[in-house]
Amino acid sequence: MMDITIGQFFPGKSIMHKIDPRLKICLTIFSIVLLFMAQNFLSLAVAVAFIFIGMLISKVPVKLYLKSIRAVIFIVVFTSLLNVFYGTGEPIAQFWVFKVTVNGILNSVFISTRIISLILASSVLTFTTSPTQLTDAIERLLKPLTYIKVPVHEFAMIMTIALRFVPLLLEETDKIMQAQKARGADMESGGMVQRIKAMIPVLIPLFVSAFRRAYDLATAMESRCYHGGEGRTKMKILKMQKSDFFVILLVLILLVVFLLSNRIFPPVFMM
Amino acid sequence: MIETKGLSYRYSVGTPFEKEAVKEVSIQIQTGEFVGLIGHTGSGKSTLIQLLNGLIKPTSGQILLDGKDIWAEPKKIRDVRFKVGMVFQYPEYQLFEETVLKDIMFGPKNMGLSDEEAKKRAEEAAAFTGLKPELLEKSPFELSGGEKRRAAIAGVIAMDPEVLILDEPTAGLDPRGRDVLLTQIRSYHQQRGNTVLLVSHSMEDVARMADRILVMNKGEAQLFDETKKVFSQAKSLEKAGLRVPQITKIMQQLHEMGLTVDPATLTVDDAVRQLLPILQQGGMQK
Amino acid sequence: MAFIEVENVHFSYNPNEINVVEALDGVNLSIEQGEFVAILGHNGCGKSTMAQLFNGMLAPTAGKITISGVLTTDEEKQFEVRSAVGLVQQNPDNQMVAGIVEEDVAFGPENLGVPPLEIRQRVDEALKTVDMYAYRTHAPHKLSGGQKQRVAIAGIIAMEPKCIVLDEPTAMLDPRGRTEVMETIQKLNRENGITIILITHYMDEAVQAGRVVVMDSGHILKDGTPKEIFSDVPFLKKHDLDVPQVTELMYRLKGAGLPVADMPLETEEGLRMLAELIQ
Repeated sequence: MMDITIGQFFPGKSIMHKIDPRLKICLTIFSIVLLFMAQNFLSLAVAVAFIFIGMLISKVPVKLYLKSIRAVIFIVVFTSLLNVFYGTGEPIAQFWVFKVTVNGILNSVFISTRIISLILASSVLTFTTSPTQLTDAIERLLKPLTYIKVPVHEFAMIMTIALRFVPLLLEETDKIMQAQKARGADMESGGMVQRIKAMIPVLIPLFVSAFRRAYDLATAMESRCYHGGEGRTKMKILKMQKSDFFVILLVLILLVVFLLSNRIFPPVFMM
Repeated sequence: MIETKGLSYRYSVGTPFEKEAVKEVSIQIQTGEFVGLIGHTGSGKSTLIQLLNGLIKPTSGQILLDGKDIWAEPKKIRDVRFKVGMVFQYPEYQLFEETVLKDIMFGPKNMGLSDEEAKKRAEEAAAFTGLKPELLEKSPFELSGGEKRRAAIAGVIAMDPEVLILDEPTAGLDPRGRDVLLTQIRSYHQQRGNTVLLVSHSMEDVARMADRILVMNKGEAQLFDETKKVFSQAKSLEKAGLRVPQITKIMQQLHEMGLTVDPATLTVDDAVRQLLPILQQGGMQK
Repeated sequence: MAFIEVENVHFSYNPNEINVVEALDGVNLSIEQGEFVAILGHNGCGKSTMAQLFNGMLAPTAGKITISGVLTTDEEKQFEVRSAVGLVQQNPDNQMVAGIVEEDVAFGPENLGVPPLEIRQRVDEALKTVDMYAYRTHAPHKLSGGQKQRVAIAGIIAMEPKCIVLDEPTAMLDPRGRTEVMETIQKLNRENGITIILITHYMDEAVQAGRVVVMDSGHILKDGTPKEIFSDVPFLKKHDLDVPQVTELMYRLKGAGLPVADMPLETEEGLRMLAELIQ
């Protein structure tokens, strides 16, 4: 319980870690868009290759990436099974009401590659960007929305505080659970209802303490002159580096290759 | 009697954070003893007390309660927690019931006692901690800081444990609250005659209360002896990052200066008793 | 007029109810720039209320408080008051906003709209002052209590305050953490000339101040140097306040008729006096 880290940031000094977080968010979105625009295996391969390059230069152990795929393996298996049976064309095998077609198999390979790549792409982002950088970058990217009265700064502040207090509250939950266990609370046995009931002695103190913390924090923030985003400066300014522009250039070339490959072959995927 | 044999505990085994918090601790605490447990943060004292009441399972070694290994039947570990009561640091954070009385009854009811019996126990425990009866029907969240602390301690005392472990029961209390609470704990110990283990950062408090003192350092039991003997070893204590009470330090220095005083004096009362004859005699000689 | 002026201040958390409970009951106090004042008293004596009155987080029900002549209740000068008088609270965990030490220290100056480069300088300097520069990229929840509290202090220093009010900053710390924090406070007062108002119930911390103000049930009982306060053993006993063991020893010896002229507060001083008595 104590070792849960929020986000899955893997500290490092790779090129991937150094890219401006705003650019990284855009690249992630870009690669996801490519995955969905891909119509044939060649263009899909280009998109996947793009994500693989990102993984490679992130220098994050492959084991961690595999771990992140494991979380979605059920969805992947489920959707690919569905696709196998819902293809069009001549069945190559048939049992009961299920028909397996070549088109179905291709479809299912295509869609599972898509889902897995999607997870990998977002993992590259979360592994190489610290939660603070991420929040900061999102706040800056969404800044134009403030003109249409979206409270971007407030959302970012909520995220920052959440990231700061979640580990603390987890630790506290652990402590309260220990204390109640010492008073003979039984949290490990019994049915559903009993178990939920057994959580009350943990949840109530947790809420009380969270309110106390919130009160203290509000006092601390106010006495440190917090008054919302207006007139606020930032210590760390995000500035695009030369290397960032280099990355953008590479991405543009890739986009051209992708669009070309999308045209060369007819689409495989039809549904 | 509670006894440990070669007790060890490792955190986060198999990860880079692996750490041996308690190493080969073998101690015996007799029934009815008042033991002080001291050691600076990270010395392993918190882990040790959690091992003693079965909240965590040792990596190796045993804990014997009245001669029986507490982990012999893991399913009955809850019974051990009723016999070895544990008051955590800032125990007021565990209060949750609608009324103080119900909260104190939580432990006894978990033991399977009837409502009546649990209520009787709760009222007794509240009296032991000096909680006024009219507070029992209030919500625990309406109490003052010191009262909340007492209600939480009563919640453990109500289980009538054979061994009572208190982890820094006076942390954050003002001198008034601290003195009252320590007096209550002492009279509880005298009246019930059971074993008390007091963890504290305050050498003055431990010196005043404990029969014997266990000094933890880097996960090991560095010293375990009578209070006077422990505090006469100032060097060994310093090695563990601890100090002796101010009055003990003064008497040690006077002893070194050649005065016939006890270098392990623990209280001001005792110091005055020893110094008065010496000083008055000196005065008369002049 | 002194740097901080507290004039006949009353405070109540429920001023509109019939049974008004006064947390402060006509307090007068003036504090000069550069002083180190300890406010000593039991929980519920009104000392924590005082803490939040100094930087205008609470407004007095009656009376007034001024910082360099500016009223703490002046809405227009709110930020001026709050950056001049920084507040450090008891629980170090609850006063940190950001998930990285240096970003938390930057929080105050960022709110004040200080230019980025200057914030960087202030943050580095503040962290060096509290000796936490090496931990600037760490996450606060992995630090010890004493380290966290020093980061909280750095967060205040980065706002370049004239005065820091600390509300029981060591109550939740272990002895090592307490020493670290007390040394930091001493240093800020001596080397940086920052006015310190330390609210505490620890006698041994109050002894380190230049001036001690003892409070009980909403008013000031006694105001003087540590020596004046702590040598008055009957007064301390009457109000259940701690007496240093060495002071108590000498007091008892004096009571038994021995010629003790002065009351010591520290071990060495006491030993010197005992040595004289023996000869």
